[in-house]
Amino acid sequence: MNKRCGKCIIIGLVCLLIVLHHDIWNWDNKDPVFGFMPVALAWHAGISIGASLVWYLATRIAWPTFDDDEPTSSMTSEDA
Amino acid sequence: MTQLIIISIYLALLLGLGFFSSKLFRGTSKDYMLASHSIGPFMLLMSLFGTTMTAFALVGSTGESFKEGAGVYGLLASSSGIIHSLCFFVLGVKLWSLGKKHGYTTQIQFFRDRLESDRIGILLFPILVGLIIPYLLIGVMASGTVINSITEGAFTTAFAQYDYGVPPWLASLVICLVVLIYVFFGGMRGTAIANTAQTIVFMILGLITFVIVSDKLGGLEESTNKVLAKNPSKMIRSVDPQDTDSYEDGYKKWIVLAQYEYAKKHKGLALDPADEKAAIAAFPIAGPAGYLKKTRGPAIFAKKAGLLSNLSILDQNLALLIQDNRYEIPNDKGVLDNRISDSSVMAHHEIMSFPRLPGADREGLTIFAQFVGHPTEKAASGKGTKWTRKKAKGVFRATHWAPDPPHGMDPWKFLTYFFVPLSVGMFPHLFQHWLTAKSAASFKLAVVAHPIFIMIVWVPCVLLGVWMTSATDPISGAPIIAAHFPPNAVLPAAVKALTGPLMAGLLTAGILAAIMSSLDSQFLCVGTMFTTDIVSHYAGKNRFTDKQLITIARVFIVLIVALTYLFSLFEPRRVFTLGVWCFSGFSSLFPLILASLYWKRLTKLGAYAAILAAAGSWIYMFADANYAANANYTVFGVMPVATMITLTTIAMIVVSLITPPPSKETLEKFFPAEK
Repeated sequence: MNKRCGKCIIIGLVCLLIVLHHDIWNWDNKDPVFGFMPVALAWHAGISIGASLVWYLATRIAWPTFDDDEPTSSMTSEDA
Repeated sequence: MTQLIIISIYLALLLGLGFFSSKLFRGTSKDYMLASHSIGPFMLLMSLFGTTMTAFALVGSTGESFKEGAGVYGLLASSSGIIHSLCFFVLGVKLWSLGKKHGYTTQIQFFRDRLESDRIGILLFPILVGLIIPYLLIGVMASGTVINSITEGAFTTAFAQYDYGVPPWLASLVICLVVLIYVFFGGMRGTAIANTAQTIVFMILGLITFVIVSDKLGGLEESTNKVLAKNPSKMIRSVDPQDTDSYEDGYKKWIVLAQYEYAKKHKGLALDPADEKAAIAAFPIAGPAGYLKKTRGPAIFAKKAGLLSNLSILDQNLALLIQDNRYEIPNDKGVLDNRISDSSVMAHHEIMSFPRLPGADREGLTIFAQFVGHPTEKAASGKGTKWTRKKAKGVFRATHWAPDPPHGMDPWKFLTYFFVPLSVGMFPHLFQHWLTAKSAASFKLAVVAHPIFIMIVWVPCVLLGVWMTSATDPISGAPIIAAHFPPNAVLPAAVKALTGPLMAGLLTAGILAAIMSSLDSQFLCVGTMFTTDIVSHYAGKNRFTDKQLITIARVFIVLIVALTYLFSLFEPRRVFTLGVWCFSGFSSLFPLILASLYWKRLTKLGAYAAILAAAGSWIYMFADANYAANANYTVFGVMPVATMITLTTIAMIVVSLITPPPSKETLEKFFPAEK
């Protein structure tokens, strides 16, 4: 998979997370998940886990390439 | 006293860590400010996370969920999991690369180069430092509140006016000094080591405390069932009909109390002693020290006997405002506030538009003077111990003031909260942390693990805040946290009430760890900005030796900390509200950092327009919200940050498009052709 395609997938998944984050369908739901966790909390904890998975995927398929071996400059251009 | 000893040991250990990290210090200003770009993935994760999780995440989230319910997690935690990592990924890695290549230490160096403008630094420096101060204030204020609450009763005779605990002003001062010392000794390397250690401490202690507290409350399910029974709206983001009914009933009863108290004080109403005695005896709920019986019983009798029916509309409105401590009748009765209607009874939201009089709850100290004393001393009645001054004020608020109307979360406001975590993109201290990374790959762990770490910290805090709305003392059956309780003190009060002195001390150390792991980075950052962007920039790079630069940075840090400390002595604000304002200011500058990295057409004048639009809109709205005193302030029904970002973006794009583009050299430097 090329990097451009990877970036498109990550952008799509982040947009999906943002849509899922606005869970208007859970607004009035007071049935606790696992018997104790408010839905408003459980759903968004799930969003946190989802975000972590998406960012893991991003590091695999959309990570930018840098030349880590470039020499470190000690001067800004204006100093020069 | 146990708590105080544990806190003292923890602070001493932290100072020891500072001395240890000073041994690793290489003596150069670059090592002091950027740890010589040597921080690997694990320490980068821990220091980035520790820096972003402050009093806001622990004290603020618990207090806010106590007030607003479980939806608080969605407001900021889950959105931060998405946005913070996005900022690390999209901005952090690229800025690290540019910083390493061109030798940047601060944001302003980058902006000066990218925007081909020297003066942009003069404009940005006071704005960035000005926005860091409220951020510092959150930590300084919260540390004072937490230590004071936990150490209540630690002294036998000293500090009576602070409930025999460490005074908040002294606690905040000690925390500032400890952080200053280890930052001074260790610089950025010391800060990164301390952040890593403290992040581990607050995550582990937080989880242990959560398990203990939930067990004391009867278990996870039992704690939630109590909320479903008593305050179901705290479980959802709308208003449950049960809470609406309960509030309407409570508000009607409160109106009767307000009218009775007003008639007694201002209209000469006096019940026959026998009637009063019978009315008190007939009221079913005693309340703390029998206060409910004494006040509500006669009020109901007076209402039923028609003794309150001759109050005019103006009198009725004045009664509500005075009872809720939102108004005092001036000596000259002719100059009443013209918002007080004399033709219709004011609705509760109109009453609430009058801010409460500062320090009004001090009246509780007079009313309940006979019950107040050392919190370990036995009460005169033989039942329990004497009250703290905080409790006297709390009982006053809970029994005197109107019940809070239940309110849900507006979906638009919820949506626009998404803009608040964008602040991470513009935090100067985070920029500095990004530049400490050893390589671009060091960011990967932080990008992936940050949302999970947020969840580990926020879920227990939010659950605890929700549970505390309905938790009762297993012996007395009284609420552990009463209505109108100060949100900043919910977490320490809950920990103190539900755990032993050892655990309370350890958790306080954890809370302080979270607070200090942000303060240290911010302290270091303001010093770095001053020496790099002002002193070295204008005096010349070789004007001062490395040693002198470090000294200058330290002096500036002390000045800023002293200023913040002075602010913390004034009237406190809700940590969460103040935090949101501070983050909103940084977020409003997010379009600038994003455009400077990804939009070639961004010009110098476009950047000036963006900064002025961000600063102007923030100052206007902050003042309009009564300097964070109005916790529910919105603009067009949405979060003010949404309007700020819109204005900044429009100003930046329009002005950039009508002004000449950046030079070819700058474009080649910042947007090189991809290899």
